Amino acid sequence: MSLLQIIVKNMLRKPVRLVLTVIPMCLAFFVFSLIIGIDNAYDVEFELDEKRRIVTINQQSIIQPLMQPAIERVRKMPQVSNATFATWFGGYFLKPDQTFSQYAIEEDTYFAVYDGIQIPNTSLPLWLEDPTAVLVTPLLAERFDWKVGDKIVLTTSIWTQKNFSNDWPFTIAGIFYAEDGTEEQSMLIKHTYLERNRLFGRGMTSFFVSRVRSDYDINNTINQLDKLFENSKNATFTSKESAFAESFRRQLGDLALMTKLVLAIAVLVVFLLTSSSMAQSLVERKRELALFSALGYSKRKISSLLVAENILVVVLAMLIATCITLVSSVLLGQILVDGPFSDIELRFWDIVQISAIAISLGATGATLPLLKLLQEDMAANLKSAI
Amino acid sequence: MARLLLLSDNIMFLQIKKLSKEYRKGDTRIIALDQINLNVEQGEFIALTGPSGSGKTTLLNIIGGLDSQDAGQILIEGQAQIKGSDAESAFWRARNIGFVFQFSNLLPYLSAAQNVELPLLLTSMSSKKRRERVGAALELVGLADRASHYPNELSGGQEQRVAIARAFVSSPKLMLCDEPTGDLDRKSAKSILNLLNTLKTEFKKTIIMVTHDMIAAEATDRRIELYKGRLTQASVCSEVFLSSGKEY
Ligand SMILES: Nc1ncnc2c1ncn2[C@@H]1O[C@H](COP(=O)(O)OP(=O)(O)OP(=O)(O)O)[C@@H](O)[C@H]1O
Ligand SMILES: [Mg+2]
Repeated sequence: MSLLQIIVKNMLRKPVRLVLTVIPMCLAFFVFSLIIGIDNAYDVEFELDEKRRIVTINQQSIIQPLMQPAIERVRKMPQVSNATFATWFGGYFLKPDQTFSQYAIEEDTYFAVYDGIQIPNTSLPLWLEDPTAVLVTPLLAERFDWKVGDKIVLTTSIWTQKNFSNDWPFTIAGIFYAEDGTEEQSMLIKHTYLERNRLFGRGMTSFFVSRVRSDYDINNTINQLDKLFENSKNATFTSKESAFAESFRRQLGDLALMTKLVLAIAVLVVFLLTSSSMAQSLVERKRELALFSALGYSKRKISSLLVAENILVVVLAMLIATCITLVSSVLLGQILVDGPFSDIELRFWDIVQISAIAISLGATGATLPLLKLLQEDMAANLKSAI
Repeated sequence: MARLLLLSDNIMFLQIKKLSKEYRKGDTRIIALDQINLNVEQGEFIALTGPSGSGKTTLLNIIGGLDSQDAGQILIEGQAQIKGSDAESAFWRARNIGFVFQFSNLLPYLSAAQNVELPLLLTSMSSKKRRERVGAALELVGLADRASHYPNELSGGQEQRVAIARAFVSSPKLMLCDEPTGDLDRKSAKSILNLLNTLKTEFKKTIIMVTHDMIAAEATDRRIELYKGRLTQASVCSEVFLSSGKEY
């Protein structure tokens, strides 16, 4: 027999109570790992940084437009090799919940900046000749079963046509392959089409994307660019593409604050569960622990046995919960096409972190009750009935 | 060196000098032990008797380092008992003292053998060595065949014998038994007393046993008696003791 066996035997003594403690802990850890997994899906690969792209938006907010002609000043910067702009179309297909990203782009400059985008030859004929032509990612085409030449209508609350309609007709020109690490479902619209037909907002765009020449520092360039428009009523805010994409996506998912809140609640739940179960065992095992003391176990040794038992319970709950998350991430990934639950990803490092949290919760949850144990009069406890 | 050894030969195994202990609860003071003096020789088997509340358990717990005195000294083999931090006194207890109590001595979730092994887990002994020691201790108390049984599968007398094996397994110098036969029928009590006597004669263990049972007390070398926290002449106090109302 080893001390570990004593710990495990103690833990398994009251199976019903163990289960009743582990289940809510599991739930808390499940929510915890799920949120981390979802949050990961919103992470943008750092590969984006290799492209040396920077994104400029209106300083006031991401939804305020930029003046499109201002991009000429950016293009003249010696640090910038080329620059393009794009406008959010903000439409949906048939039903308001069928949303995805649509960008109105300036064709030539856009593909020069996003040089990782690939357009198969089959998509080119319509794309080049039809002003209403759009390119879609394969996943999006699959989602709505769109074929080349399909006429579709997108509805947007942002843009009104000159005929006062918010329904915009488009023609599917074909697919395009987005760069790795960018959205898997998106649509490219010709900016000229939007510009020519929109009732309001002409000459405006949502953001600029510029590429920084490799012999210039990116952060410096960001500062210089924003300095160009400083103090004007169209002041800008520029950041690296990776940082921009991440903050944009998080905003879409609205996870930032919720995440933290839910994580904090999950941690608190586990903490309360573990400290209350510890306090309970201390009361129940009063005499037993005094017996250990009579046998020559120091209070510190007795405490460490109890802490270890506590940690074991929390880690057990955490392992079960993590397994459930891993399994459900695979299953959900197969069932769902889109949305935050389709792309849950729990990485090795996350599991290490969750384990560390579990261990420290087990230990800290035990602390308060154990401080009481250290003060106990073991001789008096020996006389107690339990 | 030779002189020291000579000297230590003359030293009493256990010396208790002017030991006092009082408990305070609010305004009331309970004098549990009042200036106790006691000498015990190596290999002596002593019965400690006295009416309920006379301080027997308190004395035993203080000797075993589970409780601390207000005044006085305890020397074992001439060495002062260690009363430092909890960890220090636990360490001292693990090496020198074997405790047996009246009831619920065993941890219910461990088998007899595992219960006996508990004190050995505090040593650096290999698991093989531990198993040998546990086996030998259980053999000695006549329960080798019950090694894997759990406490609820043992009789009261068997439980006490396992507890004695556990107190004995780490070869302590001094065994302190607080009413080890208190819960047992006459026959089981007898076998426990025989067992303790074996430990005394064959292993030269020094044993102090608290008991209310005069027959049990007779089985020992010497009887000492506590009355209201004071040690009295056993013969003088036996009347008080017998009239204290406890029937055994
Ligand atoms: N923790 C404590 N707090 C206050 N008083 C105590 C405490 N422990 C013991 N006492 C008191 O000290 C006195 C001696 O108690 P002790 O347990 O040593 O008696 P005892 O001789 O072992 O009695 P019994 O035969 O009933 O076991 C009693 O009056 C008891 O009430
Ligand atoms: Mg007592």
